[in-house]
Amino acid sequence: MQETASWMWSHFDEYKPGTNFGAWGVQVARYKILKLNNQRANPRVRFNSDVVHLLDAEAEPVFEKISPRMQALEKCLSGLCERDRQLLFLRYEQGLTVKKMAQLMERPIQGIYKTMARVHKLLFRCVRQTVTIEEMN
Amino acid sequence: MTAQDKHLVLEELILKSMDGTIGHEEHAELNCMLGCDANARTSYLGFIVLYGELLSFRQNALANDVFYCPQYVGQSALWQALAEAERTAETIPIEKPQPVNSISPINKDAIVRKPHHVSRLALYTAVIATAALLLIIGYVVTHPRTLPDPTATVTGQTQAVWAETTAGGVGDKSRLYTHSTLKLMEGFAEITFDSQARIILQSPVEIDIEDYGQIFLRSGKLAARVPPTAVGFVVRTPGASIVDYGTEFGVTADFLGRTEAQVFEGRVELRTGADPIRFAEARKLTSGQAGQVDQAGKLTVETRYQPASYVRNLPAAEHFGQPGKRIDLADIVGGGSGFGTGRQRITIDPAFGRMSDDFRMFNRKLDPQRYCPIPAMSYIDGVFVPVGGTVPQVVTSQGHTFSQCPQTTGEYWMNLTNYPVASFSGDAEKQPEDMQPAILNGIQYGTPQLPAIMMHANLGVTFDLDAIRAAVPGTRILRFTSIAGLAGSSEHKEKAAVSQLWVLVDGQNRQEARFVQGQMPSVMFFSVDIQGHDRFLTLMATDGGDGNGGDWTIFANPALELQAAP
Repeated sequence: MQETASWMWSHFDEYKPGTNFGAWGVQVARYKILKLNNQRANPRVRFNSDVVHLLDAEAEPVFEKISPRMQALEKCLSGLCERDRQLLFLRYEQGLTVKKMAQLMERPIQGIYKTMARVHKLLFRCVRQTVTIEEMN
Repeated sequence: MTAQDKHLVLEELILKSMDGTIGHEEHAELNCMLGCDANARTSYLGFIVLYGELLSFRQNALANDVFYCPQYVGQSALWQALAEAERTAETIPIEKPQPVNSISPINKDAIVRKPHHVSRLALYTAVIATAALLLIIGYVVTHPRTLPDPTATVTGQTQAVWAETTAGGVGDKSRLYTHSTLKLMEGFAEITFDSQARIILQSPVEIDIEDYGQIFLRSGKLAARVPPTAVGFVVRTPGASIVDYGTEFGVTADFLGRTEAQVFEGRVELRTGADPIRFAEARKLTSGQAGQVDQAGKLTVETRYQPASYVRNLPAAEHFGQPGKRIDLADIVGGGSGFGTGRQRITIDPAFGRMSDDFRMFNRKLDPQRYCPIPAMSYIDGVFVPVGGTVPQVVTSQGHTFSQCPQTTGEYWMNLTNYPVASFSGDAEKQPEDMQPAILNGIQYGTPQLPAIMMHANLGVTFDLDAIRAAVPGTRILRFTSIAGLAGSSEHKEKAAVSQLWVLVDGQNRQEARFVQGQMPSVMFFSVDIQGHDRFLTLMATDGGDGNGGDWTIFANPALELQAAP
């Protein structure tokens, strides 16, 4: 991570203001990621190469708006009810698996999966809408 | 499958992939969905962007602010609050997700893109954040996590015999995989999980390793030590679940569907049913407590606490008692399970049934016909001094009597012990270290490898076969065996000390032998078949009618032979 940031900073002059910063960042990160992948990847835990290529090809438009998305996401999180935020806290801050969450909360695993799916979808839609509105202003 | 169902399946697979709990088949399914379905790829990319963004809050230590109220962090009440919130929450129909109320509809026609003005400082901040985020996302894309296949290691074995069906064979340092089944037929095995949770398996036992923090005990017995790094370790059985809270505990699952949990340190929760998440009843058990879930799923905590019935450390290889093969009755005299958990150099006083290291000698009489039950000992029903004569001798706590018991002096010379020593000079003040080893047929007994029960006439001890059976699920007791006789010394070879040894089952004489000092045979091999309905086994030494002088009688290698239950 530090290496990528450092590389980006040292090559900042290559970034041309007015061009798409996200796309440039994606190129940098992709280069680093592929290098990392080649060095470390265990074939047993990788996706098939054709799946990776498909994802890679379709990733750019998704990654483009990461910076504004982060701000939007923070806003959207604040709009969630406390119960949903608590779930996200357990999942993303505490790093608990869904299974562990279900165990500790004495809830069915499938119920947790469904709740997580609902919250993710809600956030995804909220972020998309928020970013669009920000672009309007 | 509807689009909504597909989305749910995809989300579940992605979450499992992130958790590292995805199986190989599920991983293949995810691969297939992403390879075949453009919508699935869009959803996947959207999800991992969100995932990376949410994780990046954690990276930037913002998580407490954005996810949750900081005052609750680290408080145990959190779990209860969450559980309550989830329990009481209204069902939310996911098929029709509600829009976020605070966001107004978008008038797309009004969108006018504005030029961006980028400062170098702002860009630097963005570069750092974006690089970190992209790397997280990229790593997730290219390194989907699957189950960490090897989950545990065999870190020790003692006289272990594994079933042929145990996948791939098991040896020292073998790595064990999730979803593998292990069946130990004889001996012990120690398994250490990568989380540092450690279990000692006592045969016969069969377990499935379900993941890095959960096993399924199909049947048998195990002891678990769970360090703080592995809190939450779960042992499931066909009838119950034991959820650990950082502790040391033992679990037994028998073929009748009963599950017993004993807590040696810390705390566990015993839950009814094999599902640790959905259960009807649960009880927390703390150190020194035991609980049981019976065949009907009823949970009780009146179960007797018997820590000695569990082997909590891998015993030395040369123990006489071997799970799945034979129980060492001398170890039981020492307060153990018959598999090396008892103490050596232990005596049991026939007057009060107390365990001690009192090796004093005395010729003492007790009340005639007195039988002393020992409720404090798990597998010994009681002890007594046989008197015989006209009144039938009581030999069990249930009132079984031995009507053919010969008349004795009614005196005993020293306590029952699993450390055969003798003082042929009759010096009552001698300590065991100063006494001579009692040699039987040229062999010195009284070690874990060559155990023995010394019963200087007149003494009797009764073992509770039902209690022993309950402690060795999956096996049946075939027979009692021992090499027994009269210990000798050069001083006593000239004397004609006479004594008799008896083996009774439920008060019925099954085998007896008479020994005369200095005459052959000096030892006899005892072998008494045990049936499933037999309740008590009694070993008894009487004086042979000549007083109890020199009657240093010993049951050497006293064993209950075991066989796997059909």
